[in-house]
Amino acid sequence: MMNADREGRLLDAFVRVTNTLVADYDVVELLQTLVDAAVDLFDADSAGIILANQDGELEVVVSTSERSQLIGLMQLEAGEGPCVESYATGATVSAADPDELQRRWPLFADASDRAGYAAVHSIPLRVQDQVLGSMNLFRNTPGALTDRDAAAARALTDVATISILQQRTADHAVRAQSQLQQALDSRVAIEQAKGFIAHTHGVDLDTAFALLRRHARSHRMLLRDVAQGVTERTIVLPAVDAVQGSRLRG
Amino acid sequence: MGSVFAFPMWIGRIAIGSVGLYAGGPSALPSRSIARASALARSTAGAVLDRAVRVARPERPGEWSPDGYARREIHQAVGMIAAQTGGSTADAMLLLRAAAFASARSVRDVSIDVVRRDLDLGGQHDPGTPERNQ
Repeated sequence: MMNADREGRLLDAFVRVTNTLVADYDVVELLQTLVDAAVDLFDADSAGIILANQDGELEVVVSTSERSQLIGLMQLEAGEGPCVESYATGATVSAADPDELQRRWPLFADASDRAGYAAVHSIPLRVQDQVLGSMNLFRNTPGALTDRDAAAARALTDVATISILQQRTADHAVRAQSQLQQALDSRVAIEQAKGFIAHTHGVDLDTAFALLRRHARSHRMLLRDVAQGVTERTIVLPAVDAVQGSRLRG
Repeated sequence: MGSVFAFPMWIGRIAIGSVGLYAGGPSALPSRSIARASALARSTAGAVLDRAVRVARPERPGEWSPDGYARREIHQAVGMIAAQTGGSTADAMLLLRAAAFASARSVRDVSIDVVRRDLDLGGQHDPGTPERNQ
């Protein structure tokens, strides 16, 4: 049952995602907004999005945590699991407990068990026949999403997907694939900047990412431009103390 | 021989060599020339190291495009090395490859050590201004 506060936050998430339709934005920031909102709203412990790159391989483009197990799980080399299946079929795929995971995808189940997850809910990023990737919610405890949550998560994901496909450059529509490839490419600059800040600011990678995002937001800049500015040393982020650090990550 | 100018060829803390300039009479280089010569020496050092590593250790297929997570770690390590050495990300990539060659390990394995902060490729920076003996 959704209370008024959650309805407010859900509405807020829709507003944030649709804001991207009218303002300049980068796809990475949009998708990060989506996974952060999804964890906040839908009773999940972690979330991440995989996209197909130009070679058709699935890559994690955003996640709520840098935990390597989470990232590895989503792009399991074995090519099985709900995240991959949701992309391949264009349908929502979900497994509510470890037994079901084990029965359907034994390799994925072993990896998700090691990562501490008990249930997974995967939603395709899809518009009509075109599937771009999947949005994946992970829970530490068994249990399926309520129907209402599942519908809301689907709607939020659909809106984000449509937003990506709506993005146009000044004079022509950019094909979805090149748009997404750009998002995956800007990941390179972002990961480099995370490493850079982790060293210069003495913080972990998640905090480094939070600092980048905060700067992009407060200066109304694109995340990839901030990332590039950091490694080129045209942007210097202010120092952060320990208390701030843990708040940023939280 | 009137003047000697020597420019260091550094990448990170790897000293590749030096470039010497000689003039017949006593003279000083204008600061713009010093900046240009330093930049040239630095980029030459990069090219030399790049070639040396390429010859010594041919790039393994897919080394820069392994599966997604490995790729993230490599990019993160490149950023960290750039911060450690005060250089560009292009130089950092070069240092990462050189370190992989020197330790006979994969770029990915070295990246993991860098990200875990078990390995710091920083230290001595490019000293910048050349020694002048007039």
